[in-house]
Parts: sequence; C-alpha cells; structure tokens
Amino acid sequence: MDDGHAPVTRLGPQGNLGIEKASALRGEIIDAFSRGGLIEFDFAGIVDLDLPCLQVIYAAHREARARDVQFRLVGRVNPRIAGRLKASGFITAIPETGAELEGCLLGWTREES
Amino acid sequence: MIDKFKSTFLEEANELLGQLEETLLELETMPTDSELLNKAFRAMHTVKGSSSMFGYDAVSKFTHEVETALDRCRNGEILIDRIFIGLTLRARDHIRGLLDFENPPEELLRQGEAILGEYRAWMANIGGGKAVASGPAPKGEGEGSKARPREGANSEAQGEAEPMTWRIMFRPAPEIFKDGTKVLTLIAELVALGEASVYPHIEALPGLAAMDPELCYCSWDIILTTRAGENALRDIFIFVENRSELQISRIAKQGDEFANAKRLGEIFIERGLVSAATIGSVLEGHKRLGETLVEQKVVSSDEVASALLEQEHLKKIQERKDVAGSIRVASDKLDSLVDLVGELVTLQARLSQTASERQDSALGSISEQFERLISQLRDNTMSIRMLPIGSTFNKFRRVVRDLSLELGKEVELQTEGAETELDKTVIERLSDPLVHIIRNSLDHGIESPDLRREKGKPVPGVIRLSARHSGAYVLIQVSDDGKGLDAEAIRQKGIERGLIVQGQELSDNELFQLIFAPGFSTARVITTVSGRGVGMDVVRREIDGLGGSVHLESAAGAGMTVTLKIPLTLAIIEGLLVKVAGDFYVIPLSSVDGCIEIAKEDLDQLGERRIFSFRNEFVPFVSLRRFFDSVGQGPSISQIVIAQALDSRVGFVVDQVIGDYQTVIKPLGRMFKSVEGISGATILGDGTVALILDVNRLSQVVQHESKVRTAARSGVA
Repeated sequence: MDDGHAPVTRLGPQGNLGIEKASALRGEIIDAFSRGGLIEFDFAGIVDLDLPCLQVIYAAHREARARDVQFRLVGRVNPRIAGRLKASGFITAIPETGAELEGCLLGWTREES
Repeated sequence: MIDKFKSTFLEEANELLGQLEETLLELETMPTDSELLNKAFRAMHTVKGSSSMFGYDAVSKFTHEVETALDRCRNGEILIDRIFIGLTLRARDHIRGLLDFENPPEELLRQGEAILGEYRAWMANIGGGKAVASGPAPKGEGEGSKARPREGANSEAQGEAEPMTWRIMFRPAPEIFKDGTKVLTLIAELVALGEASVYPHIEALPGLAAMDPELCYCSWDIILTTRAGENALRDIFIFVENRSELQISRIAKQGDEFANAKRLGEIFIERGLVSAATIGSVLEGHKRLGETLVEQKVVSSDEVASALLEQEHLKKIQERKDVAGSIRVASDKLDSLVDLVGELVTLQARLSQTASERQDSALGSISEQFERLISQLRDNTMSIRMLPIGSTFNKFRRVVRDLSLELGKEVELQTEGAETELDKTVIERLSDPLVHIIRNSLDHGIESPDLRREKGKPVPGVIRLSARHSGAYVLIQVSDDGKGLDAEAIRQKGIERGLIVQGQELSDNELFQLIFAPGFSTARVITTVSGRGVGMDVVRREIDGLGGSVHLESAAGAGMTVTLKIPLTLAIIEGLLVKVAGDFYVIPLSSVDGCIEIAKEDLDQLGERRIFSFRNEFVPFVSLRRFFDSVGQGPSISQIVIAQALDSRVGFVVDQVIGDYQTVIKPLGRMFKSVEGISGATILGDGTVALILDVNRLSQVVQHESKVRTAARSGVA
C-alpha cells in the first residue's frame, strides 16, 4: 500500500456523536471512500460518542481493510469517550490520541504506512 | 439478626434516596434524558421493593404511587417540568421521613396524602393525565420480590458481605436505539457495580454499505464480581429486558472451589456452546481445546476469547481475596476503633516514659517497636475514617435549587474537588456552616435577574464550591459572582454596634470578619432565608470548633469568596509539646513554622511592643506565662514557637520545647469550654493533662492587642 502521494480526506465531526448523527456520519465516510486515498477520522472535536456512531467507525475500518485503503484515527481523544469505551470493553487501556486508540481497540488492526 | 438486616436496608435506602435526589436535580436540567429518568425510576422501584420486604408498608405504598407517576413520564404520557421535579423531591424527602418509623404517625401519613394529592392535581391540570393509581403495590412488584426471591436477592437486601461472580449475556434488540436507550451507559452502570471483565461481540457488524446505522449489531458477555444481588443487576436492564435477550447466571462466589481453576471446556458447556461429548472427544486427541473448536467451526474465535476472559477473571478474583474492595461498617464501630487507638497512643507514651525513667534498654527497644506499630495503626485507622467531601456536595445542589426558586433567582452551582477526603466527623460538622454560607451567597450575594441584566452580567448567577488538600488541612471555598461585600456598610454597622471605633484602620479581611459577629447583618430587608444576622456567627463558631479558620475576599460588584481552612482530622494530631511554668501545652505541629531561643534580657527589652523579627517579617508574640496568668519568673532563656495562624504568623513564648507528640484530642469539659485560647486537651504518658492551644484564637487576641497598642501610640482611641 503506497499512500505517499494519495489524497487525504480528513473527517472532523464535532460535539456529541449520538444516534441522530449516525446516518450522516456513515454518508460522509462513504463519500470519503469514493474519493479514494487516505481517510483521517479526527477525534479532536468529538465530545461524546455513542454506540451507533462507534459501529459506523468500526464498519469504516472494515471497509478500509476490504478496499486496501487506510482509515486512520487521529486527534486527541476526549477522556469521557475513552472511559466509555473502556467500561464497555472495547479498549483495555486509556488512549490519549487517535493513533493510541487504534492500537488498543478490540478487533482493530493498525496498518502501518 | 433481623435488626442488622433492617439497619442495612435503611442505610441502603438512604443511599438510594441520596442518589435519587442527585438524579432528579440533573433531570431538571435535562428533562428529556431518558437514562436519567430510568435511573430515578429504578431507585424508586428498589426502595419500594425492599421496604415492602422489611415491613415498611407506608413507604412501599407511597413509593408505589410516585413510581407510577414516574412511569407515566417514562412512557411519554407526561412531560417533566420543574413542578414535577419539585413534587418528586418533596416525595423523596417524605420517604426519608417515613423510613424513621415502622408505624408512621397519622400526621406524617396525612402529609404524604397531601403530596400525592398535589401529584394528582398536577397530572389532571396538564391535560389527559389520569389520577395516579392508588392502592397497595401490585403483586409481582414490591411484594412479589418477597414471594419470589431471585437468586442473590437475599444477599442484596441484607447487604451480604460475600461477593458473587455473575455471567451476564446481553444481546440487545436490533431496534434498541430507537427509544433513546443508550446501550453503552447501561453497560457502564452495570460495570460500576463491581469488578468486571467485559467482552463486546462485534462480529455481527456488517459492512459500511450494508449497515443500518440506527440498528444495534453488538452484544456483550460481562463477567461481574459484585456484592449487588441479581435484582440490582436486572434493575439496570429493567426497561430493555423484554425486548432484548438477557441471561444472568451466578458462576461463582468468593471461595468457591470451582472458581479457582475453571476449565475452558466447563465454561463452553455452561454457556451452552458445546456439548460435554464434543469437549471429551477433542480432549481425547490431546489438542488445544479453543483452537480445535474454532478449526472445527464449533465455536467462533470471539466466543473463545470471551470464555478465556471469564477464565482469567475468575483466576484473578481467586488470587485477590479482597475482591470487591470495600465492606460496609457501622460508623460507631469506627468511632470506637479510633477511641481505642487513642488509648493505645496514650499508653504507648506511658510505656516510653517508663522505659526512659528506668533506663531499661530492653524495655526501650520494645517501646520503640511498639511506637512504630501504633503509628502505622493510627495512620491506617485515620485513613479508614476519611470520606470524599462530594457526598455533601449533593445536599448543597438541592439547597441551591430550592432557594433560587424561592428567591426568584437563577443560580448554577458548580463543584470541584468532590473526591477530596476528610475525616467523616469533620464532614458532618461542615455541613451546617456550608449551608449557611451558600444561603448567604444566594440571598445577599447573587443579584436578581433584572439587576444582573442591568449590570451586564449573565442572568444565571454562579456559586462555586470547591475543595482541595493543603498540607494537613483542606481548603474549602465558596465563591459567587454576585455583588460582593459592601465594605463601607460593614464599617458603619461595625461602628454602630461598637465592634470597631471611628477611624480605626482595618484590612479588608479584618473588616469583613465583622460579618461573623453575632447578630451582625447589613441587610435592610429580613427574608425567611437570611438577614437577621443569625447564621454567619454560627459559621464562625463551628469552624472555630473544628480548629479551622475562615477567610473572606470580596470585590465590590464582582462577588465574594469564603475560604474555610479545616484540619483533616479531629481525633489524633501531631503536636509540639511545650512547657510553661510547670504546665504542659500542645501546639498543632502543622501550624508550627519554627522555634527560636530568646534570652530573658532580650525578651524584657522587647517589652510592651511584643513584636520581633522572624525571617524578615515582624511577628507579634504572646507570652503564654502571661496569657495564662502563671505564677513565677520565666527561665533565663526562653523559646519562641512561631506558628502560622489565619493569614499571619504569631509567636508563643514558652519555657521549654519538649518535642513532637502524638496528641489524642479529648474534648474539654463544660467548665472549660469558654476558656479562651484552648481548643482541647490530651493526656500525657504519666497521666498529666496537657492543654491544646487554639492557635487561631490566640493569634486574633495577639493581633488585636498589637493594633490597640499601635493605635494608642498614634493617638487613636
């Protein structure tokens, strides 16, 4: 996989990612895949994350693996989100950044560039 | 035995009512949050069930009706508003009152009927609302739990100490999100009940294109070790259980033999994934069970991972005996333990003194070892009594809510440092002073919404309550963004009441301290909340009684900050033992800054000024010999112990500094309560009584005398 010159699409959702935002988020990610290249999903603006949007992020990761495209988690992860993911078993350590989150999310394989 | 269970029930009911109050206050700010509503309902439901079980029928009946109203809110029949929250808070207070009686007096029952009447009227007024169902709690709810106890329910009601390990398999209905259920919050609530290993199954999640983002594809296996019973676990899923698949089974209690080395095959069989025969055949081939079963597609790799997590969890709890981390102990047992430790400390001092007098090295060595052990025992015991101050913060949330409604003001309470720990006795005694300060801020500090608008301030006022450790003290601050103190009005009132004289120079803090004088109030209007000058003097008295101090800061128009400096504990402190004219005194070591020697001639030379220089600062001092009217002359060389009090230093002239001393604080008898400058007493190793100095009070006396002398010299009366 060579993404040295591939276009980068950065998705930066803001605020609480509850069920009401899940469909829109899925749509944005599908659009990003259609553009090709590296996709960066920025956690910096996300205050809280509920299961519907988490499922979308997981599905995006699988999609990326199937298409051999990189889907990266970036930005600072709100401690509230980290705590929620840990309590529900998705992670076993508390990450501070998207990259650290990739490293500890259950069933998530980080692709090295 | 029954009494013990009943007392545990009452403790737990009170805890639940505390949580309910907190939840209702949150719900008031977020009335559409279904999780908060569910949480309030669950608390009410649990109180109802347990009260019925223990014969508190009045509680059960009343709670049933309130629960019905909450249920109608949950079903969307009624929208939550402030009136409903107010009523439910009153209902909660009423339940707390009912819990004091197994057979409540008629008057109390009538009060309950009145509250229920208000519920009915409110529901009728909001339209379409039927009256709250009355009559006893239906079978299958409160009483039902008595007739049909679930496994573990008994231990829940009794506060049974022994933790159990549960396997909870939760398969949410795909449509679970659509009614607003937050699955991750449910899992977090469950996990908060104890020590959990959580395995989420994500294998059913489809690809991005195929997925419906509003459906739930995840499920969970949770292994939870907790003292909570099955009812408490089921209560968390109470609103989703009928639409989702939920299996709760007890897999071990602490000490169970099988918990120690549960094999993977046993777990598969218990979970219904694999038959015993299949396990047997795989094991006969001497192959690794998990891998083989995955290869044979009997189980998925996820199921193996989840079973391994269960195995690991059981192993871990077996290794660590203190699995649930805490046990419930009656507070009077703790008080008694502290008293006994205090006696041991005193006895140890006696042993040490005896060893020293006899010059017996063997006895001295034993005494030293004994001292080390007692010191550790003391620290451990004191740490057991420490509680987070946050438990009282919730009470203030309610005070702010009720008072701001009464006064027609909008006020937000912000808190910080709820986890700060303090001795439980100190926390109990802090409650009233803090209520007074907050009431005062609300009534006199925070302006009316109109006035705040006029001044360009945000309409909602803010009261901030914070706590943090500072050495051997805790600093508790209450600040508001109100109008602040009117220094001129305080000065005039002080002169009027003869507390200060015209022209007397006072720092802002000294001036502000006048508001703590009994009956002092600058309020022109007396309200039901404050304005009679009663309250702030109570604050001062209580804080003095705790060995603490109060400091005030205020800027006109910008608000006020009250800082309480409170010692961490009231039971045993490190003290500095000193001797004056044959008597012993203890100065709390946490306030001691240093000691210097001073010759009698130098002391005489300082004479009436009674100020000396210490670390480039002029420090006033007092001779304890003079202050306590001791007879005789002082030694040729005395010591000055410099102590930090309030915001300034003060020196105490003593004959001799003996050294540090573990001081078990004993209260003074009624006769000595009014002796100025003394906060308590302690018993030394030889049985002699030593008095504990009230450094803050003595400092005030010294500062006052110093100012009077300065004023006299400069010609001001």
